[in-house]
Amino acid sequence: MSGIFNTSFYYQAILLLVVLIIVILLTFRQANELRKMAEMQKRPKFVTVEDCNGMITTRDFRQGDFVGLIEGPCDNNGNIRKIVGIYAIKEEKQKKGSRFL
Amino acid sequence: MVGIAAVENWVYLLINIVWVLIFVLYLFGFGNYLQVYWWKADIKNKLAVLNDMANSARNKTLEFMNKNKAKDASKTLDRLIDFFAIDPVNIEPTDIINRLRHIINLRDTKFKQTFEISMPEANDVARSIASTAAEISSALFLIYKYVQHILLSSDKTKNWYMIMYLSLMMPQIMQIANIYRKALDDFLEGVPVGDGAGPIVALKLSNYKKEWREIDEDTVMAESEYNGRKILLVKAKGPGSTVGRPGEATAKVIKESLAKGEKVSLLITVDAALKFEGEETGTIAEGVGAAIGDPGPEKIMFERIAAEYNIPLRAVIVKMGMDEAIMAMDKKILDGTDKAVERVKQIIEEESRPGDTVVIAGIGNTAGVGQ
Repeated sequence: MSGIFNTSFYYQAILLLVVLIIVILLTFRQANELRKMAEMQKRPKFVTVEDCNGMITTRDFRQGDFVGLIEGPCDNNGNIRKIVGIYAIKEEKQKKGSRFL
Repeated sequence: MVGIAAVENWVYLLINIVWVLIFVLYLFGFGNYLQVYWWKADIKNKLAVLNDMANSARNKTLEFMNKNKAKDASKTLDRLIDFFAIDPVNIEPTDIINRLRHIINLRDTKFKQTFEISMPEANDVARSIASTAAEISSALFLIYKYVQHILLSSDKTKNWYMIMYLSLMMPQIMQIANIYRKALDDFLEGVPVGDGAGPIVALKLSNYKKEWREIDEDTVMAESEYNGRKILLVKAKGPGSTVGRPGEATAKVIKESLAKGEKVSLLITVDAALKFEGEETGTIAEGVGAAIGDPGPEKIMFERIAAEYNIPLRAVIVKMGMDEAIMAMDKKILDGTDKAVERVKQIIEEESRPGDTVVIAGIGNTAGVGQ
């Protein structure tokens, strides 16, 4: 009786283990795809660079900003503030090994 | 006990039969079948993601068009998504550049006209952004349809090699699709993309002060001065999303300048260029020739005008990856434009004399870069 039980038990255990491993792998795979999709939705932060007579300042990007836009006088000497750059701050990629974390 | 031993024997026999069966099946290609099945499952999984990307791009474009009060936005976009341009005949190369230019210009005009009709209340910037968004959506649908076509036709013809090839290519295809999808959001935001490095350099060389005038379709020029040289700057008309016609415009500018009796001693093109993997983004390099990545008609205009009047044709490039070229501009690229300005000035000083005229063309998409 115990001989049959042992053989059957081992085969069932191996089968279950294989199925479990496949399910875990597929879950990780799916999670990875979803993570990638979620990452795609993330928007970088945009920064506008302004120049007033050589003095460079930055601020958050506003809709309608573009490089070369003259924003008006910025001091009493008749100098004007203009946008000289717009750039995106992107998140650094995660290190290898933390793929599923 | 005897009964139990008999059952055990049967179990062992069954297991042996299964092993032999598996061995025989593998001998006759069952392993390949399993492998192909796995590849197909992987491709189908990624195809579903591609379909999602294309549909979300379409929805985002529609949302933008509707926000700008477009008429029949859905119909207009669906018509443009399937729009195509047929390459000219190349086994007879005579006049191929003019034929190619004609087709490219026709395609651009068609897109432009479509959005003028569909979005009459919107300004040029919004229309050009919608046009670029439609092109990106079209590219994403094309990728999806192409992958689906290869999968289905190779399945139909039992071409396992094609499935294997497609499966191996899928990571790269997904990467390209991802870049396009992300680029769409950046274009809709109206921020400069990496490819805008050339127009930014032109703008910086103009000192942001000079008057720009339209010299060709979506292309503007301005005059500036640097250490006694007259500088003629050419760029696409911003801040909408367009590359303009810099080749045609530069040829016009040079001919106008020569007609006035000026000595055009140098022609410099500044553009974004693909870096090699491992190279730093935003680094610059210089060379000779026309730095422009169009299919040919604009590039050849630079070469022809430079060769015709024996004007040295110099190139300055700002290096970046393919993804960085069509996505929102990185700080390293913006810093690279300052280095490019300095290099252009250095070339001007070394290769022209005070009193000469120097023509500089800032090549690239001018989204988010005005004048």
